[in-house]
Amino acid sequence: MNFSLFYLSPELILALGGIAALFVGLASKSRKGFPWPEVFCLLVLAAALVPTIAMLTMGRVTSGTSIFGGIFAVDGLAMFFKIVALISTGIVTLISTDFFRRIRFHRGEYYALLIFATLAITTLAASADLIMIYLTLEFLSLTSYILAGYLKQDTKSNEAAVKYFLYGSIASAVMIYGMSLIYGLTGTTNIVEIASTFKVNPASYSLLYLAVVMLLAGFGYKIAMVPFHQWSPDVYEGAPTPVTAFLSVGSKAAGFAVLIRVFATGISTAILDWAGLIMVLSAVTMTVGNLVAIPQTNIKRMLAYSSIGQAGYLLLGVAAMAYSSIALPSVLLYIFAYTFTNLGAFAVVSMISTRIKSDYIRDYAGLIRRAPAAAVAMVFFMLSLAGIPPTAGFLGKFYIFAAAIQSGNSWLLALTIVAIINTIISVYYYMNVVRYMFFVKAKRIEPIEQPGIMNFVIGMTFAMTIIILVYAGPFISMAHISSGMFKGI
Amino acid sequence: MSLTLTGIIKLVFGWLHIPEFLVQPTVMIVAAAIILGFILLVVLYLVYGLRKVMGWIQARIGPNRVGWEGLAQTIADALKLLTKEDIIPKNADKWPFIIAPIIVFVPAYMVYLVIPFGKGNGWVVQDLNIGILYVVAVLAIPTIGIITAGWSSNNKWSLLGAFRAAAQIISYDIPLVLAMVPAVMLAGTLSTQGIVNAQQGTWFGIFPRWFIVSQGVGFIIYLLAALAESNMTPFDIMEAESELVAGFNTEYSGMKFALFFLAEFASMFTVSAIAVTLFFGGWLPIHPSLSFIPPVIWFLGKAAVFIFVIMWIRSTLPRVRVDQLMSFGWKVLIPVALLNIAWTGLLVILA
Amino acid sequence: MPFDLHSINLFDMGKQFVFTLTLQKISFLAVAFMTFASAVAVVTMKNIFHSLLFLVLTFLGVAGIYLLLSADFLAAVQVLVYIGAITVLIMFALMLTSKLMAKRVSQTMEQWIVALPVTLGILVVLIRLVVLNPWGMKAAPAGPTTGIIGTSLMTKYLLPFELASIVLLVAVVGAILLAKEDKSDDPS
Repeated sequence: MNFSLFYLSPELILALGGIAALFVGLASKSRKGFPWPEVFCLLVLAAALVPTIAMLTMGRVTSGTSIFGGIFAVDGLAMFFKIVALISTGIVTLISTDFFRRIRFHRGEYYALLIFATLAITTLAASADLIMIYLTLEFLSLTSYILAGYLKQDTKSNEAAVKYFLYGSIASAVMIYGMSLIYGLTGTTNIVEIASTFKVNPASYSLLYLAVVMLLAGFGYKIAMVPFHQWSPDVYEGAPTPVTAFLSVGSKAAGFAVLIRVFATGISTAILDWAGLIMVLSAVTMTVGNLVAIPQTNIKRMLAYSSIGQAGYLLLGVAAMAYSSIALPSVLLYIFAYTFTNLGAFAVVSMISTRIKSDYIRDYAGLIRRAPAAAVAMVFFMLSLAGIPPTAGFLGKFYIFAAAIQSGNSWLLALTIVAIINTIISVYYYMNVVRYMFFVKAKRIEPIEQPGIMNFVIGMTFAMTIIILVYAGPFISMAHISSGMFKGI
Repeated sequence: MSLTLTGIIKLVFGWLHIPEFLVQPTVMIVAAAIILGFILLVVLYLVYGLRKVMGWIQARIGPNRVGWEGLAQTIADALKLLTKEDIIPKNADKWPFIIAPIIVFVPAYMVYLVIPFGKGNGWVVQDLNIGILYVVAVLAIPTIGIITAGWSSNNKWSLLGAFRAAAQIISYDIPLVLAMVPAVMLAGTLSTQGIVNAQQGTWFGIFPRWFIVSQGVGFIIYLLAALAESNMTPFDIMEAESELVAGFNTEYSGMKFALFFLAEFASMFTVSAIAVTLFFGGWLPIHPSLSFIPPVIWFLGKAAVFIFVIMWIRSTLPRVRVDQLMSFGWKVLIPVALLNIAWTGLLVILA
Repeated sequence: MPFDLHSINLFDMGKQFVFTLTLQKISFLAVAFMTFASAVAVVTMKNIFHSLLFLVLTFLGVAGIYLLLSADFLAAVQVLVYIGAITVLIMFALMLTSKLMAKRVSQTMEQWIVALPVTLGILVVLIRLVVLNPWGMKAAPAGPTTGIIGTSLMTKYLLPFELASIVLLVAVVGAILLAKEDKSDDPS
């Protein structure tokens, strides 16, 4: 029991911390003075990060370890996504301190909800049971709806919350239908048991296919996969920018965690060739995301479509998992790189937008004169999103493409070519932002104030974006260790 | 062949050569009829009793004209009610207006399915293994009827009454169920007969091992919440005469009004019967030496005591305000009920 | 005996499990028809309050199906939660939304022409697959299910059980946040 409580310690810390954060918020009503809620939120996240990293590095976690009779996995995959979630929420917290500086909002509850959302992601990443997956997905969605609608006076924020809610409830209804079909076919909700049941007793192919498609509706909604992506531009645009950053990184990573776990552990490709399905979805997702991103004039909408495109590349890696052993580490590496890059981009957007009071790309004109450091960092974030060296995004993309090519599957090869074409397309709209920042003349030239905290956030994410490529060793080995401690099919 | 309903009917059917498979449905129908008759009887004399008790408490005489000491008064009233014109207001939403009283009455009647009137299976229509949960679930349905009645009447007083009903019943459902939980925990079963059986025996040969001993707080919460659930004074804000004419049933007359009336008094008995079952040992005698008195007498006697308490409360206390009612339910009853559950958990572990 | 009417006693099924096929089918068909018909009524009624009343009937039908599956505990919880709490909450929400109750609005819009064939197609595929698939039936546990449910909630499914309470906490906090009127002197 002691041992399993240690396994559960990040979640326990987050749960208790979230409840305590409500009280901390209650106690520190004044906007002036020491920022207790923010600091407390960061402390809780850091406290949860320590045992997570310890479990990953100290070798106390092995593949296939689980507690509570197999419903809560304690393996490398779970730990990796927990780390991503904790780090990304930490950065989101820092962005929030700046974003909400001049806005009236319920501060204590906001940070408590961020902690709870992180708890949802960490439990989701470890869920190895359909009941648990459904519950945690709903938990994450519920928290996200509230966070998306946090700017109550802003009609766009309201719209974002309502749209997110409507799409989310339909998606999860479809998903739970699929889960019920799988339960009916196997008589169990545990993913490992589902896999072993299928091995002994192969199910009706078409019904399982239907169930998998329905599951994908729920997971695809979380990762903004085409055709379940329609909510994302509106929600990204309307939600407060830090929340958008959270949705585009933490929430998306959580979706991938559960997608990988269910498909890699629960449904063997021998029973159902899900890789083909994922490949088609990957091609559609990246193409739609990248093509529709081109005409966008609002930077948050542009980043929304960009993140749909990124989901497409990641799906390519997920599909490659069926054929290649280095696919999973490459997906993890990509997610790690994407986390810092995208959060950095959103940090810049948040900082600039709150000051120029606009989300339009054309208003970023002449940013190099007004906020040179942020503009330069933004260039690198855009390069990284496009996957151009010398940035982390390049490493991630390179690894994913390498995994796809190494698998030797001709369909994957074709998909890789599609992905490369898409990358080239994406350069256009990413560089469009750079063009505005550097080469279009600004209407106003007074410098934009850059608070220390944002300098820190942007500087840190910028540094990570470079370091992950330049000093790639530890990160590659982390991805390998994490995926090594995860038992696939 | 025992002297249960099934036994009697089997015997009769055997004489008349009626096929055996009809026994069970007949038992059900006869039991339903008996219960319905019981409810009608109980309601008739509960109304009379209420008027008498209220009269005495308020230093009046109460009904004393029709029949000996006014005993036939309610019968006369019922006849009057049934012969009244059955009005459906022109602007009312017809079908909801008609079915609303039925939605309110049927659950109040269905609850009697699990009330253990006496020892053994012969004295309870069906001893469900989810007994208490069934009671809670079925008692949740009348709210729908009350809101439907209030809404379909197309009358602002009715709608306001329905509004209040919705808010009140949602708030008081929770402490009601939470107050029932400890008895279930102590008995280890949801079955009503099982709960009564678990209270058998005495402490030191004197004190009955009824759950009230450890559940004093639970009983008070139950009583308050049950009063609110079945909208009785001081929690009858949903039909407050002085504020809302008659609340959700303002527009009702004749038979439909009679159904609301029946449901209200039927649930007054239900509330007492459940209280007796959960906290006061059901049909068990107060001391084993008194077990020569039949269990059913014990049960009805105990229920009568609580009915008197409810009438007493009703005729003494003024009505509470809506906001007081809400904050009392959420901020006092629910936390206390939760603490009570924790305390009972401790008892169960230590025992 | 082909027509064992003892099985009319639906509440007893958990204990006895002795219904003959015909009667089981009859009760199922009746309950299923009620559920289906009232569900159709929910989405076709022009008055939202009438829809809601039919929704109650649908929930009752689902509870009936649970009973037929000898899940008596689940049936009671279904009635308690869906009819006792959720429907009442929806009614409350309707009454608080101004003028929604009296309106008569068609529930369909011009896109139904597209939606209908798609939905019907999905329905046909689903029914075909579900009917054709040989489902491995497990016998229902004999005896009351309450204890089994309680034990598994407290042992194997303890984590989701506890997590659910945090989900509810978040829902409560969120509901208050979104519904609360912000006063001008609101802090922070």
